[in-house]
Amino acid sequence: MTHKAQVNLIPVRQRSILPSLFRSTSNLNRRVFDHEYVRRLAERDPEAEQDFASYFGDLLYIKLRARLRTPQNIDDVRQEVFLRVLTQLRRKGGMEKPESLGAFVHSVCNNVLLELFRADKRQPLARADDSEGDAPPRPELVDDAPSPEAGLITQERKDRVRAMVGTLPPREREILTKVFFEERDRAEICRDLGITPENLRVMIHRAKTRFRQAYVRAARAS
Amino acid sequence: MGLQGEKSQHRAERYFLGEMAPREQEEFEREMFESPELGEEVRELFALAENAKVVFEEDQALGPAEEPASFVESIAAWFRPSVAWPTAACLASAALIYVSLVSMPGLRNELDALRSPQIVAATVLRPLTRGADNTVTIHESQKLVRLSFDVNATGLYESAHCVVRAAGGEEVFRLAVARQELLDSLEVSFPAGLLSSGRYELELRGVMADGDEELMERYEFTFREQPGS
Repeated sequence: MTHKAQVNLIPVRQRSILPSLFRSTSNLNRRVFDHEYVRRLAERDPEAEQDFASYFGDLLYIKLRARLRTPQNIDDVRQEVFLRVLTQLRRKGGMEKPESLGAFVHSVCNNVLLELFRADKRQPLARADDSEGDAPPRPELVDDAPSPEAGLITQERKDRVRAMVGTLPPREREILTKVFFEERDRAEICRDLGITPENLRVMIHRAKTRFRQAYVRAARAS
Repeated sequence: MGLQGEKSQHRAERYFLGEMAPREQEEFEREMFESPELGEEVRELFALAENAKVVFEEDQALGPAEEPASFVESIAAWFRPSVAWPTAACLASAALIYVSLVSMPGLRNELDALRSPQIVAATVLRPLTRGADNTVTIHESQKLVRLSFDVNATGLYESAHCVVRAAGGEEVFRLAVARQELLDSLEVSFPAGLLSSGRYELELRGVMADGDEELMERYEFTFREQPGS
């Protein structure tokens, strides 16, 4: 991380996989990465920067949480990726294919991870079975630290989610409890509930659909 | 829903559940970044998981819902005039037996435990002003709770009070903190039995030279007792 002092160039990261979802209704609209989006980013449009940081910040967090030891490492890599991507966009010529913005962010993330693992001997080394193809090294899955998002879950947001969860049928609520709260092994859950792994995936999908519908209804009502 | 959409959704669920092989996972992540639809779907799934986890955790800490009225009514039936006295006598006997055989040995065991050396990890509370959501989790066998928190503006006060209240506002206990104890951080230890699972707040109130009190900091926390391992 050589540019750490410059990370404030990037829009304030709200550290929020969840808050960003609930903060705006942008997820209700289809996000399009086109010339206009990239131009606004290159010209430091605050709204575009906020959307970029929120959306890709969440995806980076999801990808990195299983690969890095600490929330601080996750944040460092995330900020470094933002810095490199935005720097590239603001160069002359910028990005020729704006529709490839997501692929570019992902590729930069893999490069930063590679550099991090090479530079930091304290990081666990890649597992032998993971180092195939272009995939970056994958350290042991270590993430015992509290989620960096946890501190930003507010009472208001929790109340809204509680109301949504309350609309679920008992069976789906039970499954959510076992999967999300108890974090039990999925094979054990399937055995206990007498369902197949495919059934479990479908039930989680249904719960997610209800969650989305309830959120969309609440967003439209407000 | 088309076949492609259904396949994509199942992949998101498989990714979330950690069912993918490393190569497949890497390929999925690449697509997740390339496709706004898939990216949004994955964000949504993780958002559901994170929120649901917190909500379930809090619900469990607060304990089960109140018993329904029908249950209360069925208990009340035992206290109709015709059976009230025999019922009262039975209850008194049961209470005596409970105190003799269960409570007293239990209290003795608790006192013994409190007199014995033990290691108690302190839970560091973060202040409400920083949006903190603290959880204090202890094991059933743990007899002491230790909370640790920062103390700011110590030089302004002659002394302080540390007050713990339940979610309903009722005071659970209050401790006086002497000036010389108002250091940069403070640790409060108390018997675990003083709290039951639920939400609490801890207030640190500074006492000024003229006797007036003012709030120094407020902390909220969820207290949760886990079955012993």
